[in-house]
Amino acid sequence: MKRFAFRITPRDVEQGGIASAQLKRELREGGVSAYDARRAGIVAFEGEMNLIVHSERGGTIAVDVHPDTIDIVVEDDGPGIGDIDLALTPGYSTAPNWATELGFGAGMGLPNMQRNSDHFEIRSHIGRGTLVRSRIDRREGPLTYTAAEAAARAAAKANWASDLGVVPEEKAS
Amino acid sequence: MYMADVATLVEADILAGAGRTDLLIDRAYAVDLLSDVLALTDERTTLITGNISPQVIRVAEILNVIAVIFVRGKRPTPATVARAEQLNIPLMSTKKTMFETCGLLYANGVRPCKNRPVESME
Amino acid sequence: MNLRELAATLGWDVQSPGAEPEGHVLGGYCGDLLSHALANAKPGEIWITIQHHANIVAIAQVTGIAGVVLAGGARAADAVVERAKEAGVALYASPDSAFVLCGKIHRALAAERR
Repeated sequence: MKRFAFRITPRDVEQGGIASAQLKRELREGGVSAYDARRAGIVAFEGEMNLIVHSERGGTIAVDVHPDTIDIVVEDDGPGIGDIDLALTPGYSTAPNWATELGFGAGMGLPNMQRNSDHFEIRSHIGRGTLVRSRIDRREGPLTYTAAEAAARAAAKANWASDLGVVPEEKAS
Repeated sequence: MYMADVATLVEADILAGAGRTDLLIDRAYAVDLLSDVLALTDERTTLITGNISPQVIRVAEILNVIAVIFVRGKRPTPATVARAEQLNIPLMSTKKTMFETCGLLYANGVRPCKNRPVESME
Repeated sequence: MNLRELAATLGWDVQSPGAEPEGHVLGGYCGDLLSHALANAKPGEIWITIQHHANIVAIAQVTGIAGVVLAGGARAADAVVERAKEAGVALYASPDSAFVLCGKIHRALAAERR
């Protein structure tokens, strides 16, 4: 297993994306497929921008590369997300105007992270912070699943929270 | 279309990748919002944008974007251009608007890249 | 070609019909940055964007553009549609990407000029 960890500074837009681009490069150098590295890069980039735009004191991105999966955890200690379902709605954004004018804040950040993850979860408490977990099942390229495979994946997804030792009840804040 | 023809068509200056004018530009995506770029799922796409923030190149690197055309006369900083050279990602800059640039490329056979095919696992 | 004809030709979904859809569409403006649209979109142009922030309605009013078409399958929230209706701003949605919308509008307007 290989681990990458990045500390992200809040408001530092100029630096935004450096950690994620570096992550993608290192994943590729470490033998991760272009397809998987790209998905991980996208998840990390959106997580990185979320920390820059929204977090009060910055946060961390931790990436664990396993033989079968890439696990990405993005964590901060505030302000927290009030309504997670709303935050996951494409187009919904609470980004401040300065971020929107720089081309961020289209309300696609969390949906993009979710779309590029095979398993995805957010835990958040107002005043305590947010933790986003993404797991990417490694594969060489885009796949189309059969109905049976899709059902199996959906079942695996439902069990995923307990696999990771996450308490599902904590999801709602 | 080849990059050289694109540059002629939209009267663009080639800022980076001057040695790669035989690059085939056949698909494009136009946007200013970077989060929307990150929703792209197609490889080998040229990006048309008015966004010159350094993140554009980082996003291009993560997504394997093959070239970037900056519109509205926008030019990124020399540091961004240097980074693009390192990454071998050609950059162009045109004074034309995004509307005009897209209209001309579309009329000359450049096609949209696929976007968000809702990764078929749901 | 007026906006209603253009919208029908290109198969856009009408979210708000707008108060004055009869004027000719004079061109297009494409972009997602609110302040840039405010500064550069011209009267009579159709604005192609994925930006569905509520401020698009105010910008449409201030700039006097013909209308707004949301690209890439984005749809404005009900509150934004209501605001557009109240303001008499034409608001459309299309599954086409901004790149394709520019291409098709550009072609339609060029054909008209010939």
